[in-house]
Amino acid sequence: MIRLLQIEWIKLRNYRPFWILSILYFIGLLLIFLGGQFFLLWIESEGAEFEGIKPTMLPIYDFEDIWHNFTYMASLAKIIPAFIFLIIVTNEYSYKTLRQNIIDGMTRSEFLFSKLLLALTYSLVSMLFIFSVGLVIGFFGSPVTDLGSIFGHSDFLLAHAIEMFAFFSFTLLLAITIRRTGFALVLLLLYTIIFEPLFALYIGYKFEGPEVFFPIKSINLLVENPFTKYFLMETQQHIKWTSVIIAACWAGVFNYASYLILRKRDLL
Amino acid sequence: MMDTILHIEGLSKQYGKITALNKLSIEIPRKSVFGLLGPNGSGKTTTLGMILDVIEKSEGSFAWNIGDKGNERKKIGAILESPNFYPYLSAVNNLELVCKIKDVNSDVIEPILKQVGLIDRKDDAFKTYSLGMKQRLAIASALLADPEVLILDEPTNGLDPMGIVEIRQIIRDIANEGRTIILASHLLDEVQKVCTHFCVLDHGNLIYTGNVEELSKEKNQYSIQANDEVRLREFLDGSDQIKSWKKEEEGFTFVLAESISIEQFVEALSNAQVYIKHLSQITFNLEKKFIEILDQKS
Repeated sequence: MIRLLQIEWIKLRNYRPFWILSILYFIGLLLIFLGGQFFLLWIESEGAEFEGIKPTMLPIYDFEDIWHNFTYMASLAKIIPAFIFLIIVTNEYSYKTLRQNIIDGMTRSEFLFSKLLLALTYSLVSMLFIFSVGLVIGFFGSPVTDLGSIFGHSDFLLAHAIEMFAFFSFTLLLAITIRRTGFALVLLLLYTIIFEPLFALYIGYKFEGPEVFFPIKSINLLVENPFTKYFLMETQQHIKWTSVIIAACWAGVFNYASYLILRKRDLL
Repeated sequence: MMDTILHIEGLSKQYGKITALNKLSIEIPRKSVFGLLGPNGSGKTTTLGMILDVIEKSEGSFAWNIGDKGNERKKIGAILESPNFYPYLSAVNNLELVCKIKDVNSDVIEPILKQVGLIDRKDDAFKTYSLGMKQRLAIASALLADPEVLILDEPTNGLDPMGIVEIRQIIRDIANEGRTIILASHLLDEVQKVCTHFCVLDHGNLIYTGNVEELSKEKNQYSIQANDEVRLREFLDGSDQIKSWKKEEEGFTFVLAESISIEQFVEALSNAQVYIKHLSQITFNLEKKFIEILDQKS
């Protein structure tokens, strides 16, 4: 396992686009988190009020809400790391280095596993980043800083890591199937932003329920919109294990499909 | 019994209705330099792709007789078609990656870069290399794990004459180290210079397999023309100094008996009053043999 991670590290440590896009992603997350307060300030200056409550009074940075709020905001930006991951995998085809890795002695399953380890590591780094930033912002912005409040609802951090990993698994399948960066990226965007949401909307409208089993929908449902609670609407309080199981099943399906394609397809 | 390093049995590859390789069965002797010959599209790269596990076989089997089962490819150094490396990584980083994949210590990198003459450019990105340098890096990469077998697919493709000479010299040096080399090429001169064994593929079929040394044994072969062709024919026909002879477009070719020197033969001709217009030794020419084999097949 360590050897496979070391292999990925050698491949990436001097790959500039990886670092540039990753830095953009993490800076972007920071801006989204901090921007929440500026957004509330702005809408307050425009005269907005929620059930008589001023927008800036909304406790978006309070422990324990902060974990749900931040992981939801981060989920909106997950397309950026998915894009990075997609480039990394499709590059292996365009540089023909996947073929060379196999010739040099890697097995196809080792290759797949190394990419999954990379996806898992990136997911955990993203989770740790949100945790660190959340801790700092929470200490400054939250009126309560007891341990119970700090770590309450931190299960959303785990949900974020699962969400990232499942989405990476979907991206990996697309990259391995399509092999070309441009096509794979367009399909990723079209499917996640247009095709599935529209289809899920239609199915949800017709039958009510089955749309939660759709791959992207189920991944997105790991961390639902937390802001509805500020409008006295019912919202998710903890990680839903049914959502975790559905998303994990999809991740399993994506990865097994990637394995089958990788095993069966010629690498010329 | 021959010590084989690779045994191929009935190996086939089908792409839809097209047969890229048809039931290939060959044995590659250990420490041989085995040439895989054939025109473009004959199935050379498909064969190499299958024995390197990058192309799925449709039928048949192959077995390497090296290292631990399942880890054979770590004891093989191979370049298939063009050199494939991460363009943004330096030579050292690319080789470090190969070391990690092959489970070998990266201390071997610098001596190998010296051997292929890339030590001065070791920290430059692969994308800045010339084609010859890329090919040399590929050979360095193939040599990293002290491989028992080296597989080279058209190693001089696209190189300038100087590059070809350099790569050929590197291949000769490696062959002299006693490693098994499997070399696919359509450059017959190149194969003849380094190979001990070869096979010829055409349209996916094996049409010839042989030993270069055995073919070269007919080194007592000569081409002759005389002023009087009839007398010469009579002489060749009746002489016990001749193993065989053949009429050619111009003159004759003959194989001299091993116990007779060419000087003795010339003297005999002179005694028989046959005056030579032209006499030259025919050196073994793989290109000629190759064309002959393909002609026979067609």
